[in-house]
Amino acid sequence: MLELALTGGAITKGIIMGLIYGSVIGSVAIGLTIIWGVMKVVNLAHGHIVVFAAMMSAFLYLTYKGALLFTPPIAFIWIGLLGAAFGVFFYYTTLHPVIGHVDTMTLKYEMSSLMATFGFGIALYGIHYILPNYVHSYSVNPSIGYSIGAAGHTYIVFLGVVIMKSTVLMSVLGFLLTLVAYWLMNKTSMGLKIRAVAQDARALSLVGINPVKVKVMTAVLATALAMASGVLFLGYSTSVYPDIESTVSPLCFVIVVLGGLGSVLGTYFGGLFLGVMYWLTLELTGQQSIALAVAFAILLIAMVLKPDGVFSGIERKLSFRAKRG
Amino acid sequence: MSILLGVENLVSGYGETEVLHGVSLKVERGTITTLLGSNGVGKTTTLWTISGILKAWSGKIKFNDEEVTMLPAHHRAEKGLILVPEGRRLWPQLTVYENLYLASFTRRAREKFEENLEKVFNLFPRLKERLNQQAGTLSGGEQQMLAIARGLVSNPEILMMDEPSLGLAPKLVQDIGRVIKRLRDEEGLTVLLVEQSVQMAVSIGDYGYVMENGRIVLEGAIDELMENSKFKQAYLGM
Amino acid sequence: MVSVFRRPGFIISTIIVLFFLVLGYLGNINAISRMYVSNGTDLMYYIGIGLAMAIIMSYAGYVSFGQAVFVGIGSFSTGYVLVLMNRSNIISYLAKIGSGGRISNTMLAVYFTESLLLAITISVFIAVVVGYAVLRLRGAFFAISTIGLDYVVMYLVKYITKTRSPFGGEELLNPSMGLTDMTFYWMHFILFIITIYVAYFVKISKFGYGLAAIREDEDAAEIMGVNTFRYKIYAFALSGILASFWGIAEAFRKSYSIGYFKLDKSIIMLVENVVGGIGSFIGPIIGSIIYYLLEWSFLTTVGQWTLVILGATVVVVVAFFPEGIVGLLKKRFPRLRKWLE
Repeated sequence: MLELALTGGAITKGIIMGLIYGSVIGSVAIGLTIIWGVMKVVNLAHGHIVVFAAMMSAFLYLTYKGALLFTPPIAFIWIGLLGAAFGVFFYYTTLHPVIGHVDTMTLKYEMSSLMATFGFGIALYGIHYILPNYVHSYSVNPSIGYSIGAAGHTYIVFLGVVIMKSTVLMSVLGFLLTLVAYWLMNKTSMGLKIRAVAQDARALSLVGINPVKVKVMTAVLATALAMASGVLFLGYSTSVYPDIESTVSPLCFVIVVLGGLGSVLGTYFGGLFLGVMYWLTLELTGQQSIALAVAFAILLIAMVLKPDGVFSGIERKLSFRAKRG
Repeated sequence: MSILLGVENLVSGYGETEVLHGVSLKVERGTITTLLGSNGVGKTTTLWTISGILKAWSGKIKFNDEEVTMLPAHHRAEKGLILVPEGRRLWPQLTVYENLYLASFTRRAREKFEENLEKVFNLFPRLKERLNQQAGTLSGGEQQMLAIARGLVSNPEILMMDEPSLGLAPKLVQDIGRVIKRLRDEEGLTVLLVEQSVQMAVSIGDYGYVMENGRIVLEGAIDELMENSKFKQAYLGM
Repeated sequence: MVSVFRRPGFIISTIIVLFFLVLGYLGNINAISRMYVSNGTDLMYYIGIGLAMAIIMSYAGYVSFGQAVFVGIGSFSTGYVLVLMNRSNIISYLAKIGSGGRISNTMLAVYFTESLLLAITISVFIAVVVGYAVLRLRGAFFAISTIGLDYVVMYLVKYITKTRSPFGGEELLNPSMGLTDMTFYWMHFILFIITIYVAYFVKISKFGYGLAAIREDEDAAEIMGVNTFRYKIYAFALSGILASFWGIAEAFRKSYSIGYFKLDKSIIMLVENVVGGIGSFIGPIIGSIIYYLLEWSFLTTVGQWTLVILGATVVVVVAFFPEGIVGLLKKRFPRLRKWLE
């Protein structure tokens, strides 16, 4: 039977490790909250895009033997920018034929977008298997991402918990990525257009804004964030393989629902919450499968009790005050 | 006076159904031109085709001596051909300010944003109080004000309004009519007005067109129309 | 009113059933024909899961990512019956008859029935308890909540197999029972007959019309006196039971593995319905056949490119035939309309 290791040490460790993990996985979900929550595209390709970026950056990192350019703290920036270009490709191949000329996203279009992105996702997944020099999984040096200005140990001890410095760095970068996304969505005119396009695309054209351009921008932003966060995910987990998508993708959906669709900060907090719950369960039971079962049970409960998202209020409060200024 | 908007033999419709069978009309600069007719005769279709939401099947739309028939809707809006659509079509989850701000992104609107905003608050002081409220939570009348305000912030050369009084209380209908009149008199704004409240339309309009079954059947200065007994009987019940 | 047995849907189902019957009898001739038997087994599985999904998705209009949980439960039930219950009698029986023997049909039937009963019990339990909560949600929210359902059950089952499996992993290997491909074919065939007729009779029953009303406009259906919530739970449970059948069938053939719970199983079911066309009975069947043929022909011709091409195909179908194959056929050939119920 399950044995609970209910000690203070386990709880401290669960919370600390959970916050670090949550910060990374929260940032991974942000691309999804933008494209699903704002543009109402149920993007089943999100996890595949994240993993694709992680695989790519691991491949480059290993091929170039850890050259500075390919370490996660640097790579996440330029792979994110590459993701912007990839977003254009994603939009025009997959989304445009389905939602390009749709004024208001109804359930029918949501479902079509779901199917189309599913197709794109498995195609992207398939690419891993046709690349030359294919390997089933990559494992990178655990100190990946910590090769900048690193000195001494690769880990620190905090409150009796041993923490890899690289994971801390990744969670900080995850937080920064979230802030950038928040700023873009709530403080720039681009973000405003993106929030408007899902509600009524035709009204945008009536005030002189090309709605298709805004839809492209949304896809670009979401894809860029997904690919950048994929690099952070690699830096955190240090190993990656195509099938990890089947864990990443559902977790992202859980987090977005917890955080409230379209709310960037809410999603990030949803990630933190989920990370802590996951690590606490893991520490208390020692069973990864139980920890994941708990994560998804949280989703079920949250969806039934608070379908608007548990953490969506955070952003509403913040952005309301911000807009006044 | 010069012609700002000229439509010649416009044919258009939805899918395979032809709704407009050759509509021609002219709007003079600085006037209020009204398009009248009962429900389902193609008034909204006319405005949608002029604004570019619907493609014209044939015919010509000239705006400011420039042919715009093939331009997409957002390019026409950039040129100052602005539609305040039926049913308002606001962004309900954005605030009032955001709704207005979004209308100021074209080059012609950006330069005059502050000025236009001031003007709009003058016309509708209520909107200023509700600047940070979500548009979806406004009352029907306030939403209509916001829709007109959004049109004005776009800095229109011509403002086309589709049923601005739909669903509003009689008092509000008069208010809206007064605002439109004021815009013409003080700002010299050109308006193409589609209105089911014929009383209001004839009280402020300069020139009128009457549509039936996708065609213009009667036109003339409002004074002349008022002398026409057939018109009076059909639309004013006099 | 046309007799049920002369309606197009019934005739088409019967033709398909007869096709598999004939294939089964012709199958056991030589190596090549046995290859087709194996294909036929796969095809029945694909149509089966497509129809299981159809009850909740095509009929009631609810998109579920979680129907794989029922496939997983079915296959786990079989794994439980054959492996976790420590059936020493299988081993001793086989030891007695020596190599090359097979367990008797009676024993097989007992295990098969036990699996069915276990799977049905668990499926109904989950469908009713979870459905009671999540069927209040609509659209994408319902869809996502079913991902949660799938993964909760999947990870719990993973924990059970990890701690109790004699193999210590995520799989439960069936004991060798000396069964041939033909045995599996007929097991699939039994479940196929049940699935296709249940799916059809649901479609034309009062219950089916209630579901159609929910699909078209749930609020209106409720006002018109359809007990929408109860109907949705019934549909969810029935869809789950049928899906679990196919987990059982596949687990007898290939042993239980965690893969049956994976999201891609649900998504295959979903794609079959969308490609075929939502709202009909024939649609999911056509969709399943096309999906199977595409996957099979890609696997044999383009090998590693399969997933890439399959994905691209889905994108193209969604973009250009949003109403699915049935919608396309109805538009192009109005005369076929009555056959596409």
